[in-house]
Amino acid sequence: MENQNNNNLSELDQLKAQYETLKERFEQQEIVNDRLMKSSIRHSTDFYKRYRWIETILYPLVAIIGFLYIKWQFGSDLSLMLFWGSFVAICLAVELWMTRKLRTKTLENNDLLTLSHHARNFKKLFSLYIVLSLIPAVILVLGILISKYGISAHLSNLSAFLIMLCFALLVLIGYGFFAIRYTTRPCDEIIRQIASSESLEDKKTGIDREQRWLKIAMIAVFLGLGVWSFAIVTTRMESPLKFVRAADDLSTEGKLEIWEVDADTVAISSALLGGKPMVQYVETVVPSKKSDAESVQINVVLTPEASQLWYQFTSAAQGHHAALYLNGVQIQDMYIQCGINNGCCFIVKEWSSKEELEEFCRKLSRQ
Amino acid sequence: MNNDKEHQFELLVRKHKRTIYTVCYLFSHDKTEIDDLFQEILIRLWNGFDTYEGRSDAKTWIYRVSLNTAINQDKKERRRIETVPLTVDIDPYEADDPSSRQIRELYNRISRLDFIDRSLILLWLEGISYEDIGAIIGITPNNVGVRLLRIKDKLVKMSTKK
Repeated sequence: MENQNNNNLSELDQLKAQYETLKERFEQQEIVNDRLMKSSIRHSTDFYKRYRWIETILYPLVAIIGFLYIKWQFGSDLSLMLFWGSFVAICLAVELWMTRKLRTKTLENNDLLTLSHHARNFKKLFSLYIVLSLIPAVILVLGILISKYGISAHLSNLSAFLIMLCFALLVLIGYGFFAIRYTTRPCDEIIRQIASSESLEDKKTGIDREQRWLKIAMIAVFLGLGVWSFAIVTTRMESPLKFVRAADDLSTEGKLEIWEVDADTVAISSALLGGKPMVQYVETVVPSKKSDAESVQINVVLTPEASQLWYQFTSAAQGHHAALYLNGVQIQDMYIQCGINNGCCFIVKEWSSKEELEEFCRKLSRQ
Repeated sequence: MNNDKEHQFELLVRKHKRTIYTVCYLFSHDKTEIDDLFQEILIRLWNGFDTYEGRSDAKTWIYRVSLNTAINQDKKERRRIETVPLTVDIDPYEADDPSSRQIRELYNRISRLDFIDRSLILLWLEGISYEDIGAIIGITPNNVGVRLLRIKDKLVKMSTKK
């Protein structure tokens, strides 16, 4: 026992002697030079600026792009604009609060264990924030995609919808992963270093209470935003109007011809089909307000016979340009964008009233 | 006013340069890392200089910021700042004179401890009171005593094994 105590003493004495040597040696060094001082003072402001670019450039940029997209796709839709503005502003406020309060200031004012506690809290809270903020974003993107690509269960539309959906989800999840990784990276080292230490008392500080309230507030706010975005999406998503001719109704209204534009000749007409119907059904979604969009998409689904005739005529790949003529008159606004894919003819038509649009679709369905 | 503040800060840094350098040495692996960490600590000290002034003992505050920065070494982030080399004419990792060997021996012993233990032993060697060590680490003075005993025991065992 006595021997061990002696060992301990000599070991610690040795350690102290070595430390004294270190102190003496390092004290003699100049270490600090003018360039270093100037550089450190100059970079200290840059240090905070490094984190500010997200708030000062990225957020306004994302907000502006969002507003421009809404204006372009949905016109001056106030509810959508208001939602987008609130969403970006809330995300910015939460991020500002967290980076200021939980990240940058902690290094100068706290002890090591509190710092590691902050780091753990920050990581948890930031991950929660990213997951929560993705909820309204996913609902909104999903809604926009459904309203843009999902109005018809037709295969070509469905695949476009699914591709866009996968792409959008990948972008959102990728962004979430990147944001968590980039922002919480400095916390990982702190957590790792402290975790490797033997069990130290877990610090319970005021930040826990603060964090609990912030967590509750964040869940409430983002779930609220989720409900809001869901409400916006559902009110905007009108169920598609489908115009189908009765099975026993063989009467026609006018004479529809589909021309192959490049060949400048009739490709499909009722006459070429021996008087059989050309159109199986017509489908469209009428926007709730005229200001929502200047034009609507109308899907004219051809009968299998008409569709087959189109393929026979072109005897090539899908997607030839076509023009529609009704009673020998080219329908100008239908000529703008008209293509045939898998027996479905997509028309983008300008519209003035719901009644006029319905009348037009009804006429098309009786060809 | 700002120049005065810069001057005060420079005086403080020059006075405690050895303290900062010791932390950098004991928590780095090579000379470049020391330079990087030293500069990062200066940046942190300057950022917190306003809040520090007159509030606590300078040495305790400098240790606190230095250790917090050492544990928070985000090397990828730091590479964005051009590092200014320190004015030091020895390489504590390479020099081969007797005193450098002594310093390296100390480094080899301490670097085998985990971060908290390394910090505790460094502060104890520096002669800082248990209260102040507790304030820097975030544990009670009693816990400081208990942990120091365990660390000393650990160091003795390490040296016996060797």
